[in-house]
Amino acid sequence: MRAAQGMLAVALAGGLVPGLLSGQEGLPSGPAWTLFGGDPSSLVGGGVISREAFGFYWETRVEPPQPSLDAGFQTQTAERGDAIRRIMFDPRSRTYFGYDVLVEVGGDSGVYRVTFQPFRTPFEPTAWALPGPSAEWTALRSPQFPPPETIRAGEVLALELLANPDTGQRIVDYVTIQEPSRSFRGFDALPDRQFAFATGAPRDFRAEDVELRIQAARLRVNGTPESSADQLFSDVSGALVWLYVPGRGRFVLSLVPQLAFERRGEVRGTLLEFTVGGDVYALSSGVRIAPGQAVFHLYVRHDPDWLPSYPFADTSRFTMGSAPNAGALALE
Amino acid sequence: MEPLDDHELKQLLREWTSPPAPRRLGSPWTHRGPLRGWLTGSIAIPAPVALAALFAFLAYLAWSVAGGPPAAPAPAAEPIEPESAVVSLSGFRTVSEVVPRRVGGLE
Repeated sequence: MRAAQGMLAVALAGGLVPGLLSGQEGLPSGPAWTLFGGDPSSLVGGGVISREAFGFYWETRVEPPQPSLDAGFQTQTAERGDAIRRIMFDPRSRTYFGYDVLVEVGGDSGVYRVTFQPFRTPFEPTAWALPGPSAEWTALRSPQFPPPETIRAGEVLALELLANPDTGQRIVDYVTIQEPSRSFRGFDALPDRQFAFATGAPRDFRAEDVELRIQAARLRVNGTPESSADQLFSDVSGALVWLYVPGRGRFVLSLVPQLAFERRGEVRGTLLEFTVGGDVYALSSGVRIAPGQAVFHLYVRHDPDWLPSYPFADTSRFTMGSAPNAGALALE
Repeated sequence: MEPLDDHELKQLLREWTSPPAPRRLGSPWTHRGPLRGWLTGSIAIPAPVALAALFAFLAYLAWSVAGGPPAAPAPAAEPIEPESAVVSLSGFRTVSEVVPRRVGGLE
């Protein structure tokens, strides 16, 4: 029996994509919104489908990263019978594109036969929590797919899927087959396995490369717990991480000084705290927020009137998101 | 001569007066009053110290004439990228053929 583990880290180029999906139909389970970024390409989504014998790992990138994809862009993965369905869609323009993947375990250990093909079953927007009937959605034409590929565990395939004739940008999927992301050895649960594939030539590390990471945030405002964050288990990371607090607007956080940001707090291990307008915001994360052992200044930009505007936004709930730089956030 | 006891030594000390200072030493400031001492007194400065002070003064003079210290660099603010256009998925076209490229792996 195949166990689908929908640990689907999904991202929107505008920081407006559900961060984690669970369940076989790929329905959003939490209000996490993630935006990734890089140098020659921008990461707009990634995740894994784990089965008993393997994990199908993927990342979607836009190359080059500018201009950014519309904030409504989403890319997800879900199981459809034997197939793994990769799909990307834009709710604003009601446009989608995708393909199915079949993975068969080869005769030799660590060898897999991977088949990319058009959708074997129709696309149903409601299965992805998308608005409108199917008739309102336009599919981008399916390309000619290659014959089945035999790959070894850990090998990475780049699939150039879409090209924009006006901007010269391409949307590329990077996929690999490895051992399942989540597995057990006896009674021991093994740590989740992740996949990431950065593109471009190596360069020296920069301070701006350091990312904040917040997982399962628990927020207190002036000592009072923010109840809408109590059941939030999403995970966001980026050079900038933003918090939407109902009734208080958006707080964009940075470890390095930025224009329009003020030094308002500190990051101390898995805790961060900042003060804006006399109110004290204290956040506890399930993982270390910044690398290293030191205590870091926290720079904050407050947008008091900001409201999430993505489809189905719940403005009464605490929400997090991230961005690679301030320019990307200006798009929202 | 028999050694003197403490009492005799104290008596002798009270009667003893110090010899006058040599003329080259001049009068101590305290004998001339504090104000006159500051106006007419002198102090001996080792030549290396005097030269170092002179050079430091000349360097400061040259640096002042040149316009003072360089302006402190403004804090490097992160440039905010200009708001760029947004591209929609509908602006993309499917490639005619998907050709997988092997770009990484565990060799």
